[in-house]
Amino acid sequence: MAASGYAVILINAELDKDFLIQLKKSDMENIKRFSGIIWIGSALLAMYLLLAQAAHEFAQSPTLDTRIFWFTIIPVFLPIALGLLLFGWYCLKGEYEGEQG
Amino acid sequence: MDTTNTGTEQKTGRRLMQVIFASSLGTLIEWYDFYIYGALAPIIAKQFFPSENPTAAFLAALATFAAGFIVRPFGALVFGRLGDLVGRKYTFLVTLLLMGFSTFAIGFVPGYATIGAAAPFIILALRFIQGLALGGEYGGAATYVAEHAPKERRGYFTSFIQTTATLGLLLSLSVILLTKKLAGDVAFNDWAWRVPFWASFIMVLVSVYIRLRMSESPVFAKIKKEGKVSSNPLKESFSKKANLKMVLLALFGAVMGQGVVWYTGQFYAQTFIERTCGVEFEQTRYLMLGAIVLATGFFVFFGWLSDRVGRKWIMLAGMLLALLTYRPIYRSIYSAATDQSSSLVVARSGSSTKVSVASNGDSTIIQKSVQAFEGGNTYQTVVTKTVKAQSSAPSKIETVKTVWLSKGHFWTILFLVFIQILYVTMVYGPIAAFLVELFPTRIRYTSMSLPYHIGNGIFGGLTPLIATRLFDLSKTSTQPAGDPFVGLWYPIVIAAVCFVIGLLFLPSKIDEQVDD
Repeated sequence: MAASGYAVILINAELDKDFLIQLKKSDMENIKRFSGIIWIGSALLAMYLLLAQAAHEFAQSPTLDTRIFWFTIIPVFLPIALGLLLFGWYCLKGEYEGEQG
Repeated sequence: MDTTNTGTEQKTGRRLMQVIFASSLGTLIEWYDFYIYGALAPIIAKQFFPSENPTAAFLAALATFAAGFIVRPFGALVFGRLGDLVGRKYTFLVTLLLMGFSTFAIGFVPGYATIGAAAPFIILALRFIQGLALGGEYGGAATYVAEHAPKERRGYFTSFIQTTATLGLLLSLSVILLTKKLAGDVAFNDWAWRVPFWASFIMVLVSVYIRLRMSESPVFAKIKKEGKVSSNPLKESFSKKANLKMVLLALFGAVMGQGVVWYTGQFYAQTFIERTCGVEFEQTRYLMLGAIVLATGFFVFFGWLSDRVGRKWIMLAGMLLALLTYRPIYRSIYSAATDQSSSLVVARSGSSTKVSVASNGDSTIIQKSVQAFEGGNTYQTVVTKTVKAQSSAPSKIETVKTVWLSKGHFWTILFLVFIQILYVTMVYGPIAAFLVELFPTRIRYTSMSLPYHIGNGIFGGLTPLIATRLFDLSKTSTQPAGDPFVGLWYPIVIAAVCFVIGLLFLPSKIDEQVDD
């Protein structure tokens, strides 16, 4: 009797452990999903800051150095920011679920 | 039976060492070719891009940044595709030949004074080819070695490829210093600067000979035999969501942080020590060379360690340490280079003024002052004032400050640079194995090359440019000297974002199968 009671406790403990692991896993997946909002926001902010700063500097009779800098930075970093936006979107949609974090 | 097994193991081990040697040598030469242009940029600028011609000056900047760094991802696409279609061996032979040809040719292009405007355009075109070739080389070499290596030692074997970028820098600086010493300053500036470019030809020939004797990667040869080679690697890599999401993860969760840590430790550190702190040219080179030599072995160590504890945690630890300690490290470098706490040695200090008048009436006043501190640094300030006799324009004033570090401060700064390069070895040592394991064989060359070259060529390569820009922007009327540490926010923010993404999303287990 005592032995079977002990076995029940053990089974319950295993179930609790599984439940906790599941809970932890789903928490992780939720964090991954919601971090997508941060990456999308960061991408949009980066795009805005890049364009706003470039416009601001071009408005003040730019030197050759300024032009070289922005003609290098804008065409390179805008597509990368788009990539970050897409990454955020994939996170939000749960595309990375199941990947080991 | 045992003897046979040992014999086979020895043969396999020897074969593997040949693979590593052939791949690493070629990659090292490509880095050498790439770096000599950067190291000789001031001389090249004088020969091909005269500053009085704005178009030529614009082309000079393009050649340095655009061709050098921004073209690399395009090279990754072009040669990555080729590598996944026809094989790794032939593709990285082509990139080596292209790099060798363009570098050798730079050594023969007549200067602006001889052929005029054609000179900067030819140089720009050759620099573009260099960038493209470099973009195709790394992915091929890393893939080739990884596909030969046993699964339990993949990190260790690919880490030899990771040392080549640093050794290429070391080789380029050594060849330049040796040529300069043998030819003398005048001859070097006149024509002998071309010698390091010509030297590349011999190195490339040797490397091509060695690579020609190698066979195709066994993993690629297998899928080719089975008819499983991708018919359109670009489409498969970037239009299929399952793979594109891994490309994005590799870029934002690993390579962008690795790129900024690498370029901050190995390149921005030099810019900061030389330009911001004003440490003398040769001392700066010795600091960098010393730190690089001391740290290079750690690429292999962390590659080896990643086979035991996984790639993720070593790379993330490197990024975290970097972003937490960059500001204290740079503050310590700055205070060591500007330390004036000991007493002034009057006998070695002083000032002088020299005035010279040219035949057209223009006058130049040079004021030189030296401050030497007891057991400390020596500081020299040279103010050159040029007054035009025929013009009402304000006189031109140029101030150059130079610091000669004391022995104690020299070793302190060397240690601080070493720490930064140690972070580089942590993030860069395991990355080849990590990237190889992330993508399937049929599109591996294409898929891993693009994020690698965006992370390193763009995020990393533009670090000195962006950090210097931030420093310039920090100069205001209330703070005319600017904030010398503001440029560090760029690598810190990028590394922090990458760290969080890596922490949440990167796989922590080693993928043992690379023949999938």
